[in-house]
Amino acid sequence: MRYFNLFSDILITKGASRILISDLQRNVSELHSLELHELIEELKTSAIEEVLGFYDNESKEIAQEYLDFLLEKEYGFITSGNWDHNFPPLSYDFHDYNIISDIFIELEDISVLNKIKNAIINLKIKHIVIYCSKDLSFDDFYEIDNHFKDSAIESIEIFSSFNTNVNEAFFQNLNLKTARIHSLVFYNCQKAPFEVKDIFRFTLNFSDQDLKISCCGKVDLKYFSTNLTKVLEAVNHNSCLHKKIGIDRNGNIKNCPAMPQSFGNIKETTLEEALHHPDFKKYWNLTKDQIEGCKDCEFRHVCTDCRAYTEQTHINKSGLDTSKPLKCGYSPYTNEWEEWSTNPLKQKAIKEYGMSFITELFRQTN
Amino acid sequence: MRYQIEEKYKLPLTFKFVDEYRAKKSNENTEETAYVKCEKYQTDFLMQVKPHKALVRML
Amino acid sequence: MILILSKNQETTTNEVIKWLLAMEKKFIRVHEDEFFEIKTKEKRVYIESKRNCFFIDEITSVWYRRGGLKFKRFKYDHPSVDIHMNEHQHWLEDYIIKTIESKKHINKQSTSHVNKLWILEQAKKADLDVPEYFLAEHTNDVILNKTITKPITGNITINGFRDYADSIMYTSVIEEKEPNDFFISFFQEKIEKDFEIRSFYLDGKIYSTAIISQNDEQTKIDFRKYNLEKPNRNVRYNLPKDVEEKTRQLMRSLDINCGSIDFIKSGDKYYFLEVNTVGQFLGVSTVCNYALEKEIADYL
Repeated sequence: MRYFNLFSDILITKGASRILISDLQRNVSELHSLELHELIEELKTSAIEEVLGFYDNESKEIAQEYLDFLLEKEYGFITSGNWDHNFPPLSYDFHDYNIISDIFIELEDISVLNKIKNAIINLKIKHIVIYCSKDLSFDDFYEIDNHFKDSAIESIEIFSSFNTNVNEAFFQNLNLKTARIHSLVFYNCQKAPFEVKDIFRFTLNFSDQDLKISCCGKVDLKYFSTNLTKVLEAVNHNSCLHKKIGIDRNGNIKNCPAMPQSFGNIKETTLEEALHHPDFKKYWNLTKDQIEGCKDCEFRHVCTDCRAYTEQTHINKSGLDTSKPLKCGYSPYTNEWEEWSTNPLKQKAIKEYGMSFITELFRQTN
Repeated sequence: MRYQIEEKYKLPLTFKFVDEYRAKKSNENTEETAYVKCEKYQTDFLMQVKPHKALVRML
Repeated sequence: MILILSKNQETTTNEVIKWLLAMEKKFIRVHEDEFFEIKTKEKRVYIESKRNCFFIDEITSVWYRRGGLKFKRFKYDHPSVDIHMNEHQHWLEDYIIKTIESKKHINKQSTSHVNKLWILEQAKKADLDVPEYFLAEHTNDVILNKTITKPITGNITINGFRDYADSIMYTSVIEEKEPNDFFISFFQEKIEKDFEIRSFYLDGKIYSTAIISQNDEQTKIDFRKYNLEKPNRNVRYNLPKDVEEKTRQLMRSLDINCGSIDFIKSGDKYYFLEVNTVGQFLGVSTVCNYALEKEIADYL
C-alpha cells in the first residue's frame, strides 16, 4: 500500500466553500475546491489505494488527477508501507523578540518624534509608518530618517501630501541621504511628476486620492501575503493590531490612530506607560477565527484585519468588537468580491464612521 | 558558468568543478540586500528586512 | 556579561543579539578586525581593543561564532629577546583564551575549526554510517559516476580570481578518468539519496531539517546549488533515536557543542557527511520555525 504525506509547510485553510493552500516555503497561496480538501483529509487516515477504492470509476479518475496535482506541486510525497512518521508537524508558535513591532503615527509636527524617539527604541520597534496631512519637504524627510540613524529601526514608510517641488532629482537626493525610508506615497497628486522606475532603494507611489487616516483598513487581494511570519502571526494573534501602537494627530496613544480609545497623550504619558493600560492589548489575541465572516473565510491567514472600521454588528462576551471588517467586500459564502462602500448592509456603519462621502464618491465615479 | 583556473603547481580535482557563485556585478537595479548601521547590535550591517505584511492599507 | 566573537557583517549574530536584548542580557561583540592588548588593573586581567575593553573575570559565557580573539604582539629588536618575548606573549594569550574557553560557551576558538578527514574517522568510531572515502592523486581507483569529489577545506569559495565572479566548489560526480595526476584530492562513494538532512546541534539537542531536492536536477548532488525558482523543500525531520545518540557521541568526542551536521538518507540508512561549526543555519531553521536564534540566546 502507498501513503500520501503532506509536507508540514503546506497550510490548508478551509473556508465556507473553498480552501486556500498556502505554501509557506515558496510563499504562494492557491485557491482550490472543498473536494480536494476532502481527498487530502482522507489521505491522512487511509492508504492511497483505500482512498481510491472509496470512489466509483469516474470519480476515481478525478481523485487520481488531484493526487497527481498534489505531487506535481510538491505539496507532498508518497511512501510505501506506512506514512513517514519521521516528518513531524510544523510548530505554529509565533516567536518575536520585540515588545512592539510597528508604530503608526499621524504626524502634524515632526517635533513629535523627539518626544517618542526613546520609547520607539526601548520598545524595540522595527517599523515606522508615518501619515502626514501636510506636504513634507526634503528636509522633513531627511530629518525623519536621520532621527533613527544608527538605530534598530529597519523600515520607515511615509505618506505625504504631494507638492510640485517633488521631482526626480528630489528622490535621487533622498536616495543618497536617507537609509531607512523604504516606501513613500504622495497623495493628492493628479499626475505623477515623472515616470517611476525601479531605481531607488525605496518604493514610490503617487496617488490622486485625498488620503486620510480613515482610508486605512481596506481588504483586498493586493494586501494578502503568504509568508511564514505573516501566517503564524495571523494564526495566533490579531493580524493588524498585535504589537502595533498608534499615535493620532492630537498625540493620543492608541492601538491605531483610527481607533477611538486613547490610552493617554504623549504630552503626559509615555508609550511604555500606555502599554501597561489593562485594555491596551485587548485586541492582540483576537484572531480571525473569532471574527464574523472571517472565521468562515479561506483567506483568514493571509489577510490583515481591521478593528478600526467594522460592520459594528457583533460584540463578544469580553466586550470586543468581533464584526467583519467594514472595508471587506468579499463573501466566503458566494466567493464573490463586491464594492464594500455601496453594500446596503454596511450603510449604517458607514454613516456612523462619517464615511458616507465614500459611498457617494464611488457612485459618482462608477 | 564553470571556470578554468590554472596555477603553476597541481591543484586538487575540485578545481575542475568551480562554479560561478554570485553574478559578477548584479544589475544595479535589482534588489540588493540593504544594510544599515546599528549601534545597539554593535554592527555596521543590520539587514533591512521589510515588514512581513502591509502595515497600513490605505490605497 | 556574554562575550560574542563574531564579525561586523554577520546576520545570525544580529538575530541572536535581538533576543539577548529582549532577555536583558548584556553582551560584548568582538569583530574580526579587532586586536587586543592584555593589561592588568588591581591584579585583575583585562583586554583592550579600539572597540572594546573588559575584565576577563566579568565574562560569564562565550559564543564563538566566527573570527576569534586576536592579540597585538610586540616585536623586539634583538632576536633572542624577541624569541623570549614571543613566548612570554604567547603564554599570556593562551591563558586568556583558555580562561575564556573554560566558561560556559557555545563552541570554542580552539576546537571550532574542524578537519573533515579526521571527523569522518571519528564518525566511523561513533558507529555512524559513513560513505567509503579515500585520498588520491589520480583517478585510477575511482569508479566513474559512482564517486564524488569535494573540498576538504572549510571555505569552499574562490573569490576574486582574476576577473572571475566569486566562485564556489560544489560536490561533484566524477564522470571521466583524468589523464594526468593532480594535487591530492578527496574522493567519496556517491550515495543515491532520498534526501539530505541538516541537523543543528546545540548542547545535546538536535533540530533536524529534511532538504528535499531529489525532484530537481540542479540540486541533486549538492543542495547548496540553490534553485531560486522552485526552492528545495525544507521541512522538520526527526532522526531515528540511535542516529541522534551516535551524533551526540561524535560531537562530544570532537569537543564541539554547537554545529550543523549533514546527512544523506538512503533507504533505511543515514549517511554522515560532515560537521560545520560556523555555517549558516538560520535559513533552514526559520522555515522550520525552530527559532534557533532564541535557543542560542537562551543558552548564553
